[in-house]
Amino acid sequence: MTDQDLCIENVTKTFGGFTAVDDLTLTIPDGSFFALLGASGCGKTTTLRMVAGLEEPNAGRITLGGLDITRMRPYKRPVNTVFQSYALFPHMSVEDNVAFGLRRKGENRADTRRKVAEMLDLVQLGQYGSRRPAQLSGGQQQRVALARALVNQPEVLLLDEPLGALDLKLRRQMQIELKRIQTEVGITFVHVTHDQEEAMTMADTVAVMQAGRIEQLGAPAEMYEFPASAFVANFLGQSNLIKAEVTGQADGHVTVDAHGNRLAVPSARCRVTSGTALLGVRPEKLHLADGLAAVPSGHAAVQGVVTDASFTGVSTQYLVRAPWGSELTVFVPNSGIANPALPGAEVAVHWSPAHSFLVGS
Amino acid sequence: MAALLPTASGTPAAATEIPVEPPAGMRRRRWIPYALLAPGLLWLAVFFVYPVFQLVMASLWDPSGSVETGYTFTWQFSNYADAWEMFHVQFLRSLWYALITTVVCVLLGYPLAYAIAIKGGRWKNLMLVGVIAPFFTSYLVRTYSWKAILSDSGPVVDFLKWAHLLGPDGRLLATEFAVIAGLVYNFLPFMVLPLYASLDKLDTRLLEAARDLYHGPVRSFFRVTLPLSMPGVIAGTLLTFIPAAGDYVNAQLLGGPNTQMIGSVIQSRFLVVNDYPIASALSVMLMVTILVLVTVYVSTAGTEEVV
Repeated sequence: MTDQDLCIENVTKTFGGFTAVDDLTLTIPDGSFFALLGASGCGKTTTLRMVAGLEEPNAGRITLGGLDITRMRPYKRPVNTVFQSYALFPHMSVEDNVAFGLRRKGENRADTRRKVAEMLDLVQLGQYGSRRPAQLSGGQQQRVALARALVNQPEVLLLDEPLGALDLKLRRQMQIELKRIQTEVGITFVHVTHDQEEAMTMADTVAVMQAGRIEQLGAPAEMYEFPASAFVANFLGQSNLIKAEVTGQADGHVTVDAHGNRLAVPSARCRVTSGTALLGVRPEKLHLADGLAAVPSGHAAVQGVVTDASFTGVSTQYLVRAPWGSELTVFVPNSGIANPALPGAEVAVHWSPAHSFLVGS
Repeated sequence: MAALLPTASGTPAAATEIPVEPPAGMRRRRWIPYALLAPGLLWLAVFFVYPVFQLVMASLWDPSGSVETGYTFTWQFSNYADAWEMFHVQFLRSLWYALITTVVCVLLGYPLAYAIAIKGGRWKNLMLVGVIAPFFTSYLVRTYSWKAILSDSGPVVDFLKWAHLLGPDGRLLATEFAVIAGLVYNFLPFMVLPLYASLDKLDTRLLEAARDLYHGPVRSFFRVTLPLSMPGVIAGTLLTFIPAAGDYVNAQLLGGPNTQMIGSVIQSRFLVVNDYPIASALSVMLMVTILVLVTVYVSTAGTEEVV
């Protein structure tokens, strides 16, 4: 297998006075499903467009398998894009749309026809070849856009919020579909999205971007369990972040003082070991007990008052007001034990220290 | 549901029975579309259908009549043969000039419309005003000023003579060049505006997609931009060709005897020579020819697939 990694090295892109991408360095391994995740305006789409060649970086270098493509014309790059709006050619049939790139590459007629048919089968649109894009539903158009890019067998497929325009159910379906296709064709997918759930479901590696920089990069589960910063902790799922003062270190633990509560976090789960920090625990890792006496030994706990309980089916989501005024979110899974805490009830919120993490504030 | 009918057995009809008469309110509303159409239809009947009918009738009058003695309707189809015999040169010339005008207008108008629509940015509206500005003066006045510009002692002729592009006794007025230049000038906005309208709608993301799919700028243009702007091209060429073919002002003011167009012939037959049957026959011929050409053109170029 040749090494076809996509490398972005110290790339900066500014528009007027605005820095969209700020000294970004990133390696996307060959054959991976890579997600660039971030809120709108974080630079993820600009990054993608620079890889596609639709924007030129002000500084830095982009290489693909060792080949410098930074200033290569978009139509010369072995890269194809699935556009957010699909950008299907309205005056051409689905088949002609898919064959658009192949014909230009000088592929012969029979091969083009065969590849287009195969690709349409892959995206389950075999019998729609002669239709116009306008005669297809949003989900079908999305799949045509995918087929049109994939049929050229690019080294890297760029997907710019490809599922953004679909409704929730279709989006879930297409997420699974895209993953299946990626596994089948083995091409590197770079997927830009603002939907953290989408990024986590689909990608092997997720890069969270903020203000033109990578905030954290890693496997979804790894990032979710141990976020690098408060931003990631909040952007990837929900987090309870409690302001805490580091007081010392002992026995592989960092001890902190959070509003008068002495709590411990395993050192291995601490991004900072001094000063003011934020102690984080995911809502589903928090448990409720009737009082401090009922808290299992070894668990950290704080007292509070239930202010809200909402039943969502799979779980009940509680808001518990801590003595210092802020509210903690607790997800109690619906495991069949009917023991609802009612708003107003005094409870103890507890968690295993191994589930907490400490990040800079 | 007051109109329920009793069934044969005398029991009340089932609720699925359709009322025989629609409610009075609905019946009244059916008139509204016709009422809205009426003024326009009446206008067209009086000012379009009737005159065309009159024109066709006049083209079949006995040519031996005159305005003083009156004409008689004799199904004189030979008027058409005579008209063709006398004026086929001007007739064909008109179509030829109109064709050249249309082609030149496309070649000048397309880049202009493209620049305004795609690259215009915040200057778009100002540039559009620039295109429309000539309409603030009358057609005749504008064409007269061209006469001054192209006149034998005018700046253009002086310059061309200085640059040795024109001989010492060369002139522009009364040449084909002057007539076609005038036609192009006068009909260019009719080309630019529909082209602009269709290019302005063009989704530039499609061009990015084409670039992404290995198409350079030139190929993208011919595979994406041009096909998607065809409605504008068709509308523009029709709006240019049709009036240009029947135009007589430019040929009259900027041309000479060798550049006469069919419009001037019709005008002089009607108003100077008072030869109504031949003038009418020429008019009908021009109308039918243009109609046929346009039908063939539109059905070949095909607008239906481009939305």
